[in-house]
Amino acid sequence: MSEAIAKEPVRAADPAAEKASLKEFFVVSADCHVNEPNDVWAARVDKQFQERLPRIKVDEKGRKWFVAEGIRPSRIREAPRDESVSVNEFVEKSERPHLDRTRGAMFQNQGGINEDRYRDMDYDGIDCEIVFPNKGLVNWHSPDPALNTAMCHAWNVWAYETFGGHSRSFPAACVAPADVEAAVAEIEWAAKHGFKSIMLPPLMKEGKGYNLPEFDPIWAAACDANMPILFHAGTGKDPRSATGNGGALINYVVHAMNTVVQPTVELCVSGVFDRFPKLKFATIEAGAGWVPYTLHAMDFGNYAHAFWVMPKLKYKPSEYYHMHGHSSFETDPIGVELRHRMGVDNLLWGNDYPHIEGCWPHSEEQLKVWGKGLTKQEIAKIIGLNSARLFNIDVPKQFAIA
Amino acid sequence: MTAAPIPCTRHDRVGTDDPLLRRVLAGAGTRHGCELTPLLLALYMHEGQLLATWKCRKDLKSGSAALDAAWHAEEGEGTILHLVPSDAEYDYQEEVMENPFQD
Repeated sequence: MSEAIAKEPVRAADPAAEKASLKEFFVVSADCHVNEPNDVWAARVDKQFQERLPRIKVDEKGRKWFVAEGIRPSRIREAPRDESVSVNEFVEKSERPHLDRTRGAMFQNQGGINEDRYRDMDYDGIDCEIVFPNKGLVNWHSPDPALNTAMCHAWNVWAYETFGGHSRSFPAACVAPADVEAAVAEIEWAAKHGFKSIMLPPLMKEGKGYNLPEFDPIWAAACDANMPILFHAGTGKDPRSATGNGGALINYVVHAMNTVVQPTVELCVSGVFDRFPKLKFATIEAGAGWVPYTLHAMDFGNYAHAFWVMPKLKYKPSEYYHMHGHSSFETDPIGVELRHRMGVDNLLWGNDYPHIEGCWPHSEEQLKVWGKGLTKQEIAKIIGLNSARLFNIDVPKQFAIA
Repeated sequence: MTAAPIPCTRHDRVGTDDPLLRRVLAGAGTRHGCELTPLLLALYMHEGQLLATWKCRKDLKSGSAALDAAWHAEEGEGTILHLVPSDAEYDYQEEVMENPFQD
């Protein structure tokens, strides 16, 4: 357990004075990230994997590259893309409001493990957070399941050492599904060490789908541990499929956000929930507007293609989502507008701290936008109580809805 | 053809027996005057990009030109990305993951 993190009471310290409305709710961000130390893996994996771990390399011009198995090397940018502009000048002239608060989240200095993390949460009115990796987002990229398993376990050990027993930060346990037996062992380890959720990649490099019965032991272990499965957008495969013009948006919309549709459909149409009625899952950081359409498409296909549909299901596919599924968003007016089609109880919210595309440190301002027209009870559920229920987080009495 | 194994510690699409990489290493050794393998930590292709990781900057400076020349002699596409390991602090965010530019 890091000495930097005290075991605070569940309720956040007073949000900043101007965050008055967030004081009305118990706020759980279902999507936060943590900047791990450089040795998150090296200090914790077996010697046989040491040389294969992701690491920084420097080229002939002194530029830094993040190099990991299974993905294209990533240039680490510590300055704006236009390198004729200095960092200081960029920050000074930038109209991005984030930069006022982050002191450089754009340049990746925020979101570590120290008291600043909790100051940032307090400032944004966040009581509790579900914590996902930053560096560890590549835990599943190698084509070698043994390396993925080793990296996931090392990340989990680090997360336990860092957040174990904490009452505001709950890391998701990373689990590599390609080796099912090892995945089950990791889930059992995570349950024993107090983790509240399991992170699986939405897409697997092997091209397999979660509809296949070979993954049943994973669902059984998750049910035994009473932990939901989380599919975080853009993990499991390199989302940078597109290059050149429009590439950033193609990769964001198609190869990152859209990846969670596949496991959602795989689970809802394959009979998994008939075999594992206690299993819960959530898609993370992919918005929610896609859910109502996907539910409609599954139900229509279930009817129109009935001749080919196997296995025959007890319920309509959409009903499995209503009973088992959840989806988190940061600010998604479409998803919120269609909330009754997917179920208010199925919506989660997260601020994606400390990422620049997230809504930290302006969660309250964003709430005023997406929460317009919602009842106080609906907001209370979406902004915290649904996550509290899914992740088994105790809710202070004054915030509980009867 | 070089007798030494191609230094490659990763399990990726192209394994350590890639004949093109063997020819490139052999050609580079001839140009350099001795085997380059001892100077390299890793040499592999990823989606058409050849990456060479040298043990240190001195080795990179010593051997990269010969490797470049051998690569072009074999009509390899693009340029080699020459790297040395670093202990620099870094972060890795989704924005980096979605960067569409090949740099």
